[in-house]
Amino acid sequence: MTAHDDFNAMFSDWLDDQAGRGAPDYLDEILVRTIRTRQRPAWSSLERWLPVQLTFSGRLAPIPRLAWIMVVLAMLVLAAAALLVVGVGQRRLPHFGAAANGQIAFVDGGNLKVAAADGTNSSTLTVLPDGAERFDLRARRHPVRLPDDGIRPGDRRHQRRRLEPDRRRPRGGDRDRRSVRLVAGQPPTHLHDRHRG
Amino acid sequence: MQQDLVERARRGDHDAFAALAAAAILQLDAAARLILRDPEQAKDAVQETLVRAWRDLPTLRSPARFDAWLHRLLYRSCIDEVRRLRRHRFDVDLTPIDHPDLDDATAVMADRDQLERGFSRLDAEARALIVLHHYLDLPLPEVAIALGIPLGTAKSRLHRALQAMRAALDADARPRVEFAEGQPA
Repeated sequence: MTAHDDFNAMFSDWLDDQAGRGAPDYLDEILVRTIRTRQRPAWSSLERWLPVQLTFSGRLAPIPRLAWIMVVLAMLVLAAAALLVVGVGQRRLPHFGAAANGQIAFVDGGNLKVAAADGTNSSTLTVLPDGAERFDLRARRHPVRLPDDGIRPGDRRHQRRRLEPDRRRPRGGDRDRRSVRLVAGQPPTHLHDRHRG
Repeated sequence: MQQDLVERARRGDHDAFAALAAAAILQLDAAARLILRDPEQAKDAVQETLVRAWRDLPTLRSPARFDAWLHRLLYRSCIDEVRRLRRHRFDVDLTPIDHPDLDDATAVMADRDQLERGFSRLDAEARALIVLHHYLDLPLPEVAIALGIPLGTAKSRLHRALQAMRAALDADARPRVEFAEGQPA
């Protein structure tokens, strides 16, 4: 028998002696505690979802608290950076409603014209016949004639009324029967100048 | 049989869990006393182990691994106990200064005393490693899993721990130089 075996035998004997033989008397105490303790649902544990090799090998357990704090901080920084990038890259809302095609129709003298939303690229669509001075902005493609209300063509007050909402409802033509309205709060610059100035 | 009890306990059958706990508590208590070197702490650790086992049993994926899982819970509870008490306790190591002549019977006692001292000097992790492997006879891969460390780390730590134990015995066996009273060395 080698010294190594001697040591192992002696050590095992010693461990057995130290461990003792008596049955512990606190099992009932434990069972009372367990009766009062609710079991966790199975789905609430990582071990239920992650591979056994990962969870049972305990690689998740020894991660120190500082490491967790660093991970949480890194995630917060990443989230802040993502918000910043998204915020900077935010574009204006696209045009909607009547301005969805990017053009606005307006009456200029006796002509029906269209222009870009910023007032540029103005072009004449058609020359209006006499008495056809009131149009729905949505009726750009098919101008609708409204009954004559006695307002003379070219009257500036009439031009202003044309841009005010729901004063008069057009008859026919516009399918949804919407009345004239301002699309973006202000008409194009040149329209403003011509008809309000 | 045990797997059936585990399955029932997982579904909330308290009687099944009581049977499992009754079968395991003797071994758990002994292992905890060896690891913690304190019966009261061991009792707390075992209580915590079994309460956690009841609470978390539904999350145990494989009932066949119940024993290994229980050992892992025991190890964690023991380490928690050590950490809890480390904050409130100072250990004072007393070294005997007299070395009386020893006959065989007392030499064995002295060896055991040295083992006790050497074992107590190990940290709780090393003691747990020794207890799980040498007392509970778990194979080293199971021990590594219970302790949550790689197998290679478990092997090297076990080697170091046993070396420390042998060194404690060797130190005691080393011949002492006796000096006659009044004589210079």
